Amino acid sequence: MSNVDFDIGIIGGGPAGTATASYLARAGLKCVIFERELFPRPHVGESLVPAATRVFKEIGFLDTLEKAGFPKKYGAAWTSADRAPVYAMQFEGLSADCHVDIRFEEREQAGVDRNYTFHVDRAKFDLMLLQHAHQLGAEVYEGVRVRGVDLSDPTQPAVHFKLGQQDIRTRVRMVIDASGRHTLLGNQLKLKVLDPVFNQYALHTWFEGYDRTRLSHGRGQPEYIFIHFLPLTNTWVWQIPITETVTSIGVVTQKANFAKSRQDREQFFWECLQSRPELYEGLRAAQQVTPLKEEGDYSYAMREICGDGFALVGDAARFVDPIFSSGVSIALNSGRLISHDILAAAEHGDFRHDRFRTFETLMRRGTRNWYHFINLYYRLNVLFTAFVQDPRHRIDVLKLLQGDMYDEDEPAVLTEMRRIVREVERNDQHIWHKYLGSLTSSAFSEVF
Amino acid sequence: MSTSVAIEQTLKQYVAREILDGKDIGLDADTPLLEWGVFNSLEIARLLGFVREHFGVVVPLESVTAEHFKDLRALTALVASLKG
Ligand SMILES: Cc1cc2nc3c(=O)[nH]c(=O)nc-3n(C[C@H](O)[C@H](O)[C@H](O)COP(=O)(O)OP(=O)(O)OC[C@H]3O[C@@H](n4cnc5c(N)ncnc54)[C@H](O)[C@@H]3O)c2cc1C
Repeated sequence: MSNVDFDIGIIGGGPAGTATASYLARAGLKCVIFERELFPRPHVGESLVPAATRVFKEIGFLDTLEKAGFPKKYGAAWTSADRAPVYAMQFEGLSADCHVDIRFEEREQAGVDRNYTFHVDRAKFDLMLLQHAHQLGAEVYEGVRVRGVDLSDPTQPAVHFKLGQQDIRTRVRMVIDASGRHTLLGNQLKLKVLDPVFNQYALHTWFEGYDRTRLSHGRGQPEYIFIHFLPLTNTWVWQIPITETVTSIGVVTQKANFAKSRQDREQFFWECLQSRPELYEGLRAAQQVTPLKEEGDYSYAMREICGDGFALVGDAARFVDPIFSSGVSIALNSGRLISHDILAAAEHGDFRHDRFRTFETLMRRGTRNWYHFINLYYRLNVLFTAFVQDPRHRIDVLKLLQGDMYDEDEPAVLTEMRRIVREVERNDQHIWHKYLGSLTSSAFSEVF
Repeated sequence: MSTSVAIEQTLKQYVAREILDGKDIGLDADTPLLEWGVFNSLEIARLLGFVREHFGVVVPLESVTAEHFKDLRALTALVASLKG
């Protein structure tokens, strides 16, 4: 080990990088994290799912997190208002919204000992995780942007960056790319494949003083995540509590919708919201406290997620869509899975591809299930809601919503959803036929 | 009271109470529920849940067609046939 500077070089100090570093450092490996920003820095992805809890516990972070005072998240709710116009005209004054919800406590989850998770201000949360990894022994370099990785000798990769005018190469035994959507290694090694189906676009910001119970159909639930469907194809709004009074609001739509509208971002954002007047008025009455931020081109896969001397974790390995607020949990759990393989590899002093097969299999399986779930959801929203309300399927859907999707090749509930989607596609007399989203069934073909 | 009349009565009460929030729109066996947009996509999902709990029958999702859901008469016939 004398010819390397560190055992593991980690690019990126977001949840994927810091989870990996925490697992490895506490087991005694010498880790370094390179993070291009100076923390705290804002980041999208504020609502967690319970599968994250397992990682927090295992790396000893749960107590710190509990004390930080982030809003607790007990469940999720979906609302829609898709009355036909005739109805709206004839029966003015009827409450138009529908409402479906789930509570996490309805299903026991392996490795998870509480019935809630958190919504987090990512600036604070990511900083806390980075400090945690540091306390466990990882070295942290902030404000350092990695330029590339020299993998010409895969038994001794070198991480490349500049300090001032100086070119620096840090030699490690293995590199972890946790650079998020920057996908540093994916770009360098040309592994990236843009998703042929999803091309979503998001505009988001924070509001002060928005009444979060407004669309809850009298159920309250100010600390749930709310997904409000808008009557536009594949368009929805997230409502995520950040503090007692601050709420994160994001409009997610097809990029084509935004491109077509020829409006500026501000106009487009508000016009989308206008399609749900109650939501619109609630937000107009509140105060927008951060500028609108946009996210796009975020759906892609990688042809490989590991190889000799390297692995990709979190968004650097894959991102599909934020609909089930799973990104951070996947990032943390990919850190958990790769760490397991790395610790075994370190014992043998061998960091070749074969050592990471467990990680590879579980991640691919998890993301494939995830991808199908998201596809089915966008193809036929109402089927998802019907399944959530059906006691025969509710718990199986909840399992996916909790972030447990690594342990089965294909959960039976997905097979059943797909069967019904096919049936609805085939039969134009089916009442849900007209609700089919614009994603086609070829969406189910594999990306990798 | 024949079974179908009872089924229709129960369904009518459900629709009036849960979907129309108690509003009187002169709902009867032939009110065109779909055409008027009384049933939206989510309401159908809730209605299926009600039918399952109340009548103990599962409407296969592939039978959720206009033919069976256009009005209370059709819906009643569907539930009656599933009850067998
Ligand atoms: C619109 C939208 C909404 C979302 N909503 C949710 C949600 O509600 N819940 C949820 O769980 N997830 C959500 N996500 C997903 C979530 O944002 C990500 O999945 C999550 O942040 C991934 O964590 P990560 O550690 O892989 O990457 P990141 O959190 O992006 O961290 C990567 C880090 O790497 C650093 N970096 C990049 N390049 C370099 C370099 N060359 N050198 C050094 N450092 C570098 C970056 O500065 C960054 O700090 C959402 C995503 C989108 C697009």
